[in-house]
Amino acid sequence: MSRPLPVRALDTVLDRTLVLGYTTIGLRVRRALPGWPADPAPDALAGKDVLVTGASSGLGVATAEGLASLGARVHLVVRDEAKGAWVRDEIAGRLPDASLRLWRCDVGDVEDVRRFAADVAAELPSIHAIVHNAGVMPPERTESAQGHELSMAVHVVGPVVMTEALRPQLAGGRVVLVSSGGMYGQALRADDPEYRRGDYSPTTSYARSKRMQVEMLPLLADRWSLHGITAAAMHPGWADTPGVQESLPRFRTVTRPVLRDDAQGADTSVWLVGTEPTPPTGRFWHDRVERPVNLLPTTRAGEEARATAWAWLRVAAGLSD
Amino acid sequence: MPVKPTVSRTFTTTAPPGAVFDYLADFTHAEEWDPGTVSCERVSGDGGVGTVYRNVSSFMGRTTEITYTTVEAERPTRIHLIGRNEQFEGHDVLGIRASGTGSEVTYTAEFSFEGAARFAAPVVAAYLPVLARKTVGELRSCLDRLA
Repeated sequence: MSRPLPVRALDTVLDRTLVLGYTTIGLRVRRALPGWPADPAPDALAGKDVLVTGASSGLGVATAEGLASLGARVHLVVRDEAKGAWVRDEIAGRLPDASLRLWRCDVGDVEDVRRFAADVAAELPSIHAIVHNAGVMPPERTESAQGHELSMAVHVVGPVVMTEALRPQLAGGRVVLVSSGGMYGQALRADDPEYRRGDYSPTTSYARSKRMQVEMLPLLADRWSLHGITAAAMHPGWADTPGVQESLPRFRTVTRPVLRDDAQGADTSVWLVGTEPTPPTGRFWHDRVERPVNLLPTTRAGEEARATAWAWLRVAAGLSD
Repeated sequence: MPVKPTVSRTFTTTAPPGAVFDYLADFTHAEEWDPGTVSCERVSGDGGVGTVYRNVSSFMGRTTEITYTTVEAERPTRIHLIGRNEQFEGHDVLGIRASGTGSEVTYTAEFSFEGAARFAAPVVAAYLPVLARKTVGELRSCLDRLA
């Protein structure tokens, strides 16, 4: 994708100023620029099965709807089935031809993820993609059933366990990790992945787990490449999601007029799943373009830290060779 | 915070991941693919994690001996060695992934320096792109021969 230099320069300025680029303004400007990567074909996902976790709220609903509108058979993976059923009916009301299937899974619980993956594997011979969108920002430090700090459990351990278990079905397919621009502010804490030290802060914990996703992505991409699976992480920009509404009320008050709506936040996830040819693996994306994983020198992870974090993840997710 | 010059390059080779891993995990092959390595011999270990190599490198006109230890070896996707002497600590990390019938390889080298040698860090950082170009060129042709 070659774009004229002034366009790339403007795009980069939008990206690095965070506030401009990540808001609805950034996406609107970028869409109008020449070289904006083309939308997937209208039937790009016809007959293909795609899983979306956290599909009952915020970006998950918009992601599911975006994928369904490209013809995918969308599997809504939710923790709360009643809420999930309501969302499914809402989407079906807008897209009467959509194929939507509801599944229950608590992504924060490794045992439940394994149970879910076995159920899915028994029914679906082939999966085109999983969008790991489920997210939490616990107000107090919380542990999962396996004793992992909950945001790390939901954003990192659960998605890795699910993908590992479904590798045969995902062969040739794609995995998308929904990260956050908040990770730019945090370094990889390989020394304390479970947030046992220091005062717990919900936003710091959230951002650290999102940093962990991004730092582990290249290693996961290498591992999953052996099954022909590509992996991407993306950040949605600042979207007006329930997560932001509940956890960052002050941030929302100030920025609400320019926050993205859910469809804008989900745009890159849907594009990564639907576009052809398959985007290169192991990259971090925002607004359909590969982005750097560090904007500050202080967040740059050394090889030692990355190796330590990987060793932790291997144990937490039960990765075997 | 200490200056840690880092360089990372990604290239493709016609050799499949298993062959790339087996070749690179045996660090004595650095004699072939690393333009800086004068000699490299295995001191102990079976080639897996904990294997120790004695490497004699010529770096910017100076010859130094560096002890390398394998700290990660995950066949066929990841190899990580740490090289150390009194003034130097370096990480060599190789990420290998399937790409078509061959592989895509990411080579990352990170350096840090102790004592007086730390003043060399900026010079090393400036020299790294040249070093990386030479290394990747050699590495790729060695790997292509495996296919």
